[in-house]
Amino acid sequence: MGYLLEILYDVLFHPVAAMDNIASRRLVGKGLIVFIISILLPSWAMWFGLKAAGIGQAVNVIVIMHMIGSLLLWFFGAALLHLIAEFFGGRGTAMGLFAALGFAQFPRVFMVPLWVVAAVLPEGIRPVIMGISALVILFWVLALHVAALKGAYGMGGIKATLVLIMPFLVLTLFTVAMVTFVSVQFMQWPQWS
Amino acid sequence: MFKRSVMLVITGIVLVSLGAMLLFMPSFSSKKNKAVPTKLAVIHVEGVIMGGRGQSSLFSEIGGIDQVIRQLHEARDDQSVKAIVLRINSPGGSVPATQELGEEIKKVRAGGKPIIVSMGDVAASGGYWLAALADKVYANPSTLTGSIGVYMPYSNWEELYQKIGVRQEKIKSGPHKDILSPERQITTEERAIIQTMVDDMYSQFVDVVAEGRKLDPARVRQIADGRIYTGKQAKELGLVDELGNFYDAIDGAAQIAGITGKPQLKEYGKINPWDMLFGAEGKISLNQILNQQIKNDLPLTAPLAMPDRW
Repeated sequence: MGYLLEILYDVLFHPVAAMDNIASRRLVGKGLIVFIISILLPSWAMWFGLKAAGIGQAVNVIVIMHMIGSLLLWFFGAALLHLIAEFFGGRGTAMGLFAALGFAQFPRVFMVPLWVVAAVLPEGIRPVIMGISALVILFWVLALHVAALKGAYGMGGIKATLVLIMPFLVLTLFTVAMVTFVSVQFMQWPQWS
Repeated sequence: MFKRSVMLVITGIVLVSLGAMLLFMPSFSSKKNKAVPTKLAVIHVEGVIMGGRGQSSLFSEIGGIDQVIRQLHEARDDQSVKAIVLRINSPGGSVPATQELGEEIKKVRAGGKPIIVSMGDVAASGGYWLAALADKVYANPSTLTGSIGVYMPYSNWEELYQKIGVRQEKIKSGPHKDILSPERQITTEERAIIQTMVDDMYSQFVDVVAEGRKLDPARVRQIADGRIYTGKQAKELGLVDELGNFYDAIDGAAQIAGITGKPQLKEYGKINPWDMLFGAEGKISLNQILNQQIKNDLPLTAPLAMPDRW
């Protein structure tokens, strides 16, 4: 327990060194614990929030889908990023990256106190604060993903960032191509006869 | 030791926050006292009424009555829904599909949820069949409605086939197996068979209107000669209850359901962004269906619809 707390401290305040340590030791079990806590706590908070908003039965489905989706994304994301990192010349293990990415989710737990703080603020600025909080946490998690790639593969910051955004770039290009081809299908051509 | 202390403080803050959420979130603190919200379901019957699933696409399914029936069932099972507003904008459709949907409307009403109809541009023929089954019917003064009647179309393309040199022969199991076939003239006997069917369906339609509108069947037969009426004329004839738009129907439904204040609307079958991008066309035209049936070389299911164009 004490050791886990020390690692978590390093993840928050010395991320690159911490991720290097996690990846080299392949702390998959601890990574899984941190991942579950990091997903479970904000999901629980989200469940309260959605219930309060009167969304009803859909809340359980949304929360369960969110948890299952996060787990799948972690697993397949690690596999994909490992492949891309190797394409970019990185040397490391998929298990190491998998463990590091589990720890990279940890800042999500801060959503809970931030939502509580937002809840006591005046109603007008509440959505703004919530939005900014969510963005800050998102960028923190992404920064830890970059740190995980740096630590697991010994890459530089730019290369690690490129590895991380590569799936999104490919997806964007694919979507643009798809939309172009679909648009061409519906285009009205001039009639010659 | 310092690291552990910092992390323990952080853990404490997160746990206290969770506790605060549990105590102060309105859904938890007032869960037991909370009143059940009172909603009105809004279900749309748009375009030609046809059986089955309609047009399916990757993300949606639109047009067939199966979808409308599913929405009716959802509204029936939703405890927060107190009444259903059926927004009809349809020139009619096939008799069996209309009847199938009509039976479900009756069941939902029998289950204790009132159904109020709001007519849009047109609620004629099959569209009116459905309206007649409702607790209360609202129409705009210029809504096109009525068209109470049944027809079964038949085209004879014999001469066209002769001109283009097509001669189709059929080996039939019975003399009437190719009834309404466009390749030959309909016989007197076949005409009588079809007329009997049309009359039977017409009688069923008249019964539905008489029962639903609490009118004398003889009186319904007088006004049900197939003509269309404006909403205003229909009100005078007792075919609709009130003149008013969709929002008047909402107010009327809220009153019937005993909802005080502004009712919360729960709209079914909303077009979402996915439907806009990848979905099927919202309305199905009568022309489209007739062309489809001709292409498939199948006899038409007796329609009770207004012409698509004038």
